[in-house]
Amino acid sequence: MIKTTKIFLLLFLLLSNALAEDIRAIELFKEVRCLVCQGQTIHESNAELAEDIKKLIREKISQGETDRQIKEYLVEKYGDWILMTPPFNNLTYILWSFPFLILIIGAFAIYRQKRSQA
Amino acid sequence: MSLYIFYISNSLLLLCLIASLMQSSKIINNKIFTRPGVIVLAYVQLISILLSFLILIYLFLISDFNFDLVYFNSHSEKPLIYKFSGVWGNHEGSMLLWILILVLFNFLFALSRRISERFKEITVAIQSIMIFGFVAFLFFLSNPFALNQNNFFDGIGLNPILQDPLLAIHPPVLYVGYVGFSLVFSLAIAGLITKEVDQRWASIVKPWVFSAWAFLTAGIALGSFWAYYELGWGGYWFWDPVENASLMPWIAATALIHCVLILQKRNVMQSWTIILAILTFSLSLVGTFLVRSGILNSVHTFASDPGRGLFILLFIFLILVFSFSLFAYNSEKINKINSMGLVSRGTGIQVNNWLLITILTIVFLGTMYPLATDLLLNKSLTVGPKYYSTTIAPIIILFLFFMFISPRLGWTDTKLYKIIIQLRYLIITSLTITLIISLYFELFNLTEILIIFFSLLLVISSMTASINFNKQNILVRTNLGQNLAHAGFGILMMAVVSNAVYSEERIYNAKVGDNLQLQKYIFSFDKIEQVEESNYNSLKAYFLMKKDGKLIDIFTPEIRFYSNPPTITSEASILHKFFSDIYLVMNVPQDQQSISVRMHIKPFMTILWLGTLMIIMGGIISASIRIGRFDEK
Amino acid sequence: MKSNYLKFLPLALIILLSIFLFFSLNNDTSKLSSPLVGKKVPEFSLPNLFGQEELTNLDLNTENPILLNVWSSWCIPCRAEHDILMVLSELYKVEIFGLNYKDNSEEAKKFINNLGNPFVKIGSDNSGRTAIDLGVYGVPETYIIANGIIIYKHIGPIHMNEMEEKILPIIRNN
Repeated sequence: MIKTTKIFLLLFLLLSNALAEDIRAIELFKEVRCLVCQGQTIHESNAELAEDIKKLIREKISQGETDRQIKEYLVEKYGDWILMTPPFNNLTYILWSFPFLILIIGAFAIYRQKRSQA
Repeated sequence: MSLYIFYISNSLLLLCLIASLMQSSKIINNKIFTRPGVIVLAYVQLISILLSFLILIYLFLISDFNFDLVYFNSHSEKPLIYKFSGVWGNHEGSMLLWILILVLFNFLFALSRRISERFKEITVAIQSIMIFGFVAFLFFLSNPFALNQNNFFDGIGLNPILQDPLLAIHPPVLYVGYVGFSLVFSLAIAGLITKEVDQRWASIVKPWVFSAWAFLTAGIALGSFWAYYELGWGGYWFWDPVENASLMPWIAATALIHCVLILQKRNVMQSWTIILAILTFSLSLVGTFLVRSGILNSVHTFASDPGRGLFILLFIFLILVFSFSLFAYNSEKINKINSMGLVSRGTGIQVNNWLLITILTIVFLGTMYPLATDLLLNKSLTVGPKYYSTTIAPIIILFLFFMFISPRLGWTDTKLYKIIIQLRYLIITSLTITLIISLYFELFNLTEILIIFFSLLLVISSMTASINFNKQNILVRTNLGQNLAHAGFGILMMAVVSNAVYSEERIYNAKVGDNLQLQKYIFSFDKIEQVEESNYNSLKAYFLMKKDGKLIDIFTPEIRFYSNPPTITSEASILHKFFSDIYLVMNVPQDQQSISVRMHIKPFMTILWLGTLMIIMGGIISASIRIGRFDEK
Repeated sequence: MKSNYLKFLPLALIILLSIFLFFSLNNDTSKLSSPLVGKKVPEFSLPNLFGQEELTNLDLNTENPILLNVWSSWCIPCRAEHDILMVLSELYKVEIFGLNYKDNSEEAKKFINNLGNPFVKIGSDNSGRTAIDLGVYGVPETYIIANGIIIYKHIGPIHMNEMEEKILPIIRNN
């Protein structure tokens, strides 16, 4: 009885681990651009290179690499272009921070205008 | 025969050029030589373009391959409706349609009454300068009536991905939106020239700006609906550059319609309204430029050509430099200082205007940034959907809040706490519903919860505001258009968020006889067969959807192989239910044994389209009903 | 006072944007730069298509610049490019290494036997893993490598004029 429970538990752990890896893989697929398609992720694409990269990501996950390591590997080989979401770095700081700047300028301008009227 | 048509149609274009030139010369007010009246010339412009458009339709319908355009974009075996829609399924034809709508707006405005003669003349003159520019572009750089030098037996055909009834009506609707803003632009310039940007100006502009906005909204919605069906990627919005190009003028226009409203009611924010009017139209033009010049990578790529891009760029440059110089010169003369109070409806609208500008900046940056890094640093970047959703989501929360509270505030200073107390039942109701929803559906992301909460608040608030009884218990006339559109926006936002959170997806490699599972449904792969249609062959798979052993529906995703021109498309099979769509797509088989099939459960899609429809209806109602202090005088 | 300058802001922005768009118009966005240019060739080791000795990254570590060409027998542009590779190896005596990408060995051998062999050594990358390590998008692609460092990457088939204007000058100058 205890033995079967143990086996079940082990099986469950293995399965849930596989499931977790699968979910992680799909989340990563959605973050990686299909290099030979127009604006699709590898998740959506069936192109050969996309399939190869999917296989590679699954292998790297089962080897215990983190999402970050996998992304860094892909960026090293293909450049920032391969990531669907641009990382925050010295190339993209304007892209990420400009919206907030605009927001603050607006808040300041409206506040000043109201105060000068009052 | 074809030669005659060639001469006639080109003469018609020339006629329109001459008429537009005469019309635009009226911008200078002189009495040295007499010119035909505004209305006469507007008739000439309309009839010449209308006739050439009808000729082009005729050429497509009879498949006259002596003309380049028909040869490259049509095929004799194509179904009639696509021969028809093929007229604007290409660059030249769609340009002609664009011009037709441009002259139509010009004509309708020339006929409108209760507008001073001089103001009308200037507006029509500005409009005619644009007509002149576009017709010249058409005539010299993309002539739809160019003759084919060789003799060909049959045409190349229309890109099959465009052979879709939705796409037959999507461009005309979208163009009515874009071009409608050209008239608003002309009105803004006329206002700057005459220095009369006031309440009267706002009431002249209002019906045009609202109808253009409603059409633009509908055009974008149709495009999104088409992408959902036809692209087979399981989404309705991809933040693709071409989609962004149509979204940018929409955002500016949404800010503009609200400014026109406050200008009409309170006579404030003149300069800002003018800037937005110019901005909206220039963004429509920039959108056209980006799509047709081929500098963007996109799923919707049009036939692109740098020469055309250069012309459109030069055109935009001249228009904008002229209008913004005029603005810099005259802006102080149109402004009137009028206070609105800190906590007032006007401030709410101002804040939301700025939030819209922020969203516009985000979309603009996301679209242009990769171009900039590529040009300046030779480094490629991808700006995908996640950039937009993470940056826009927090702004949407603020936006929804001000959308909810502003209509409840008065035009002069209002005490905020009084309003909150007044609305306490509404707030408590929404809060309770949001709590229940988030606990029941295990929603624990703060941004998502806040968007749901404020959307709910907005929807309930707008709906209750539209049903308003006076003391005698008679339903009083309220701002139905506004309330409908606002409620629609709230519904849309709720649907967008819940759809993003609860969409589910499975990918299977399936053989005939397999049973695939998606949530509580079982899909039995019944058979696969080949189907021959008049203009394509297809591979059709049959899946029986069962729930608890009972057959519910049959899904038939298809892959179509078109021969003219050779293209493969994937047709999704979709079951619409009120609360969710079930969506099956198959991919080109990799081997003989199995096909790869993708299944999606897309919750709240019907509700999402419903919200969009409400926004469009709201726009139409606001365009047709004139309510306002000025009109009532 | 301040609004005096502010009213020129839209005008300035428009002019800047137009200049930017004008240059974008002439900018070819389809070309892709590889981040591996200027870096060392990643470590790899592939079975030799014809012989026993494996093709490894150490083979590419020569003083004179060499080419590494990624090709396949099923790739049609590669056939067109093959003549250029023959010219490069026979006429200009450039050492070319081949990376046979996701190919069937028999087909690949037939391809070489029919069209001639410009390669010093060919490695078979059946899984396409080494190609991903090298940042390959598709076939054909060509790397110029000197001292084990990638100095240039060409995507797509090399045409005659590209050989003369790009590839050969880079080889001569290194």
